[in-house]
Amino acid sequence: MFGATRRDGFETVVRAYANDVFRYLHWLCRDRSLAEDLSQETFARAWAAWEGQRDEKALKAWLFTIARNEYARTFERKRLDIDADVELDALVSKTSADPALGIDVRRAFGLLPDAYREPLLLQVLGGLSSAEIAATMESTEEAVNMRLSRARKALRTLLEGKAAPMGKEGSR
Amino acid sequence: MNCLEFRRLVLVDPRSIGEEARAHASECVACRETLGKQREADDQLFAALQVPVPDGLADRILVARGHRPARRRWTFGIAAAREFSAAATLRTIRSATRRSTTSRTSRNRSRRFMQSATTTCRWCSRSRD
Repeated sequence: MFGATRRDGFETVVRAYANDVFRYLHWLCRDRSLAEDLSQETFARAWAAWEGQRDEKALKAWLFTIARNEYARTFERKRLDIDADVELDALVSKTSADPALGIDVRRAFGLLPDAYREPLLLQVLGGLSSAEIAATMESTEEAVNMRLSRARKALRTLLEGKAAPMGKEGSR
Repeated sequence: MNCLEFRRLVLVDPRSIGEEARAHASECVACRETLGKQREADDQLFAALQVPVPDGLADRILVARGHRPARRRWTFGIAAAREFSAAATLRTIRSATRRSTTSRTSRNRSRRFMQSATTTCRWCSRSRD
């Protein structure tokens, strides 16, 4: 699938996925220069562990997992934010109080807590399934689905500037 | 499948709702509308996530891993020539500075230039040792 030799295969993958890996890291750390350094580190590790041909879908999830680990190592942060739920509720209620805020999608997405932004990034930008996102984030599929759902509700609330019930999935 | 279950699925992933949900959408106008709106919102989000990528990122990654894309070789040749030229200029400046008997102000100016020239490459703005 990715060329005859190890080197050709790797080059094809770098050209296919470097942009998405950079964007993923950019949204995690919000620093272009750091995102480029982490992209370099990601592909350095990928090259060191390169085994040639892989299933394309699995390969993308593998790269995102390496990228996430590189980001986590930089900030020595292996676990997700434990207060993400509280953070999201506070954000939504604060923004709902000012419906004239008129923020755009990019800014609204940037306001989401990391734990909610990440699964949405991996799904919308990376095209990963809930199972792959759970594996990448060392979480469960159920928890990922709950966060995806709450993240979308929060985004809608931020963009429409109106309060919406933010109860956990299943409570409505 | 009822409307509540459908909307829950749409919030998890509007691009992959499954066969049963698709059947529900074909019969329920309100849910079909909900699905359309969420897909539109996801399209807007996807567009918003497309931050500009630094020029030549993939090439730099490949070069750092020892790859030499064939069509780029001439660029490295020019870069190498520039490096050689810069090094020669620095050597000339260094020897000129050593020989110089000009005023203290002039020597200080030369020293400052040397310091800036040895820490920053003027063509790529990357720091050098």
